[in-house]
Amino acid sequence: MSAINSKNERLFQFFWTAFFILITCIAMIPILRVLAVSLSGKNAILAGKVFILPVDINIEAYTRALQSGSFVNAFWYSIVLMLASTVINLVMTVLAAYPLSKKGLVGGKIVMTLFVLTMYLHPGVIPEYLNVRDFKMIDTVWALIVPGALSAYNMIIMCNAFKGIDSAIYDAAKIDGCSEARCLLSVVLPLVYPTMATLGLFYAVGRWNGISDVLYYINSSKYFTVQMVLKQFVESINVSVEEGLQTNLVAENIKAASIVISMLPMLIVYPFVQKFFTKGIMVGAVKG
Amino acid sequence: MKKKLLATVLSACMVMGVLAGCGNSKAPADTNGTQTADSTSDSGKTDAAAEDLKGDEVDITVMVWDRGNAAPNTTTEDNALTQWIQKQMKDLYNINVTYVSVPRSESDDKVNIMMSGGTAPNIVFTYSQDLFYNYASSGALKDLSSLYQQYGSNIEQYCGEAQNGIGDLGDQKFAVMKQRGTENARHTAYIRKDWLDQLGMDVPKTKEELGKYLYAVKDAGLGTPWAMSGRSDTEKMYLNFVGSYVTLTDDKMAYTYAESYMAVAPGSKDGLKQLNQWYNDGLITQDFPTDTDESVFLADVANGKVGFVLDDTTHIWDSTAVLNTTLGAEDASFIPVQCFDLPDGSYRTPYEYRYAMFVMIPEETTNDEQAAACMKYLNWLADPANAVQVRYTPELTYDELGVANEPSTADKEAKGYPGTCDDLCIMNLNFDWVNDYETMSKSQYAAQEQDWASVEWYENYYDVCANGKYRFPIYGYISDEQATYGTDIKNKMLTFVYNCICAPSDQFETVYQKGYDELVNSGLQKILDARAAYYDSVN
Repeated sequence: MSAINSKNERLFQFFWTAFFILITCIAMIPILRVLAVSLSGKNAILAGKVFILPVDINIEAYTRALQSGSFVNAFWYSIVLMLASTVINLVMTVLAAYPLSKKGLVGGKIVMTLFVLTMYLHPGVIPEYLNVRDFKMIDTVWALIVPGALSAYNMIIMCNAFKGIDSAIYDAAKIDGCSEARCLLSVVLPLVYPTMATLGLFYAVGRWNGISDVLYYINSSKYFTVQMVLKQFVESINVSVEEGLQTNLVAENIKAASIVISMLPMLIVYPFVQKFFTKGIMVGAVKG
Repeated sequence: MKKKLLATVLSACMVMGVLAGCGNSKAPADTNGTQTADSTSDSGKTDAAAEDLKGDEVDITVMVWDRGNAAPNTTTEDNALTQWIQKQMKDLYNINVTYVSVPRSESDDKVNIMMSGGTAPNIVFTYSQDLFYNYASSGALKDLSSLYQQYGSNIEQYCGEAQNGIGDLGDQKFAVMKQRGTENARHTAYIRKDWLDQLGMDVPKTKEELGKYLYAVKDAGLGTPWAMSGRSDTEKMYLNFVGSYVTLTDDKMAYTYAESYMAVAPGSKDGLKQLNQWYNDGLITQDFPTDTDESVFLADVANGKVGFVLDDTTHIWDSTAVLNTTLGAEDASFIPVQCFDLPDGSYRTPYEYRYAMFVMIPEETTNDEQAAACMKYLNWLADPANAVQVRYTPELTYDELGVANEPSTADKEAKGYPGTCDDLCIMNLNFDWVNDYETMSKSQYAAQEQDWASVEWYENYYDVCANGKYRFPIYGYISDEQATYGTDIKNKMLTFVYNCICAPSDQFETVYQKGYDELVNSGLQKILDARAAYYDSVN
């Protein structure tokens, strides 16, 4: 009986493993295709010969992008901006979520309602622009940090993570003489680090991929993020085609190379944060 | 006292404007071999007039498109070319120019935001007539009429073809228009010359002959007789063909149905019916509406699987180059063809308008001194002698044909020039050689990266395009009806045409009538009536 079970179990395991490997391979196809197109020659792309392997290997799209002064500057600027922005986001989120997680906070429900309302009532692009303009932030790096410094959605996740901590731990900290600030820093935050890591990833990805605020609030190209530069870079090849200028590249080539370059940092960071991912979200969800 | 002073200044400006108009501008005539243009001497002949236009110091901001291709250690708004222009403006007119970068791909959105927020630069531009009309009719733009009279002599002289009332609203001028370079047809048909030879047929001159060729291709099993794609934002795949069934009796009719409404003009139904028949006879790509990104269409062209296409005028050149390279000879496959004969036997090839962008000065952010300075700046850019130095860098050289050499990317990067100098050349691309088709053919041949077409091929291309050259009448005005329903109708029009082409033959009438009724219910007739009424009101 046990042998049969064991055999069935192995078959079961084999089937599902094979199934998920297949699913993973299918999921990889678009990424491999983009990579292949970014490395292929113009004629092969135009003739539709590229699927998931490069044809007539050509790295000009990468060399053009990487040699561009705008790109290199924007890349490092975007990294710094992403790190700074993520730190500010997390500080703001924790500082908002911690008091709101406390039972009996006077006016807590009203403040939370106001936060939640921002998720549903969006003022629109023009009022937001006027707001940023009136705070004299147009064409400054602050325009890319301050308006999105706190996400209500992430704050609620963090708030629920705090609520998930046993009240006995708070009591013990207070008996030992902890102030609220000390309690937050030394007791609570270490307990919610998976949530912190997850939200940090959310914020980082959002900042890295964010383009609309750069478009609206920034006029000096020195403050353009890498995503904006890459988007314009794709445009530059389109104009060459429109003007009948001969190039070794086609728009698909540049687009694919831009996608690969822009996803690289996230691809590197993701595996290190992934282990916190499920746990972090679940901690917040328990008492949702 | 103030009024007297103002009157004196204006009078002086008008006199100086006339003097500026007398300034000669030097086109690159001395073109024996390669030579470097002398920016000082090029500008020299306007120096006397320009000296008179030099007034008090004025600061202006000018929009410039950013395409992410600035040279290392430079930015789009601060590089060798912008610095050169800034120096010219300072020296000539005492104007301090600051550039404001606007991402090219989201240009209209960004301009909209800045206009709404009161932070727009003093000079902004757009290709969108809707956007221009919206600003002009809501008082967001400076009236440039008097400034144009005072300072716009070069614009009038060198970009006059483009200033054909399109930037006007009533008696007021709200935009000066950039002048395009080479005159191009909007769409061009191409046919496989090698297949014609194989079938023993001549290049078709009529739609009837085209039909015979398409059936012959199918019968011989050479490939898809007529390839189409299913782009959802352009009518390029069918417009010239369907339009050839429409007799434009007068300019009013031409304006009324120009050009997005051509598929519902009197007579066009016959064109749709013909396409429907050919589709059902297997002459047109069967699942073309699903090829929305054109990847299948272009790959089929490059792989030599199709016998005839109608497309944007140069769009298939890259794919044809691939095919000719594969076939191993210049001119081996596609040649341009005009076979869409009108009912009277003549041809009509719609051409691009001579204007490119609407160049505008926002009312809210620009005072009178800045507006005058902006017009001087634009007028300076309109002079071909200056424009060519902006377009091809101040260190430009000419080839033996007298055509300015396109600087290489490496050269521009080494010298700190932006990747697309054209973006600073916002008034005039109409250089000496651009409409000399013989020179253009030789120049394009010389610039080929792959030897896929001969000089004769290019010359034939220009000849074919010029056969029936036609421009639809246009005005700057956009009716409320068009502003309200226009975008929706344009989208629905494409669906309507695709449905008509792909309908089973016996259901064509039903599909046509149903689609037409839907267009009318969505505001089509209101738009057409408004266009006709406007034409009557101004003629």
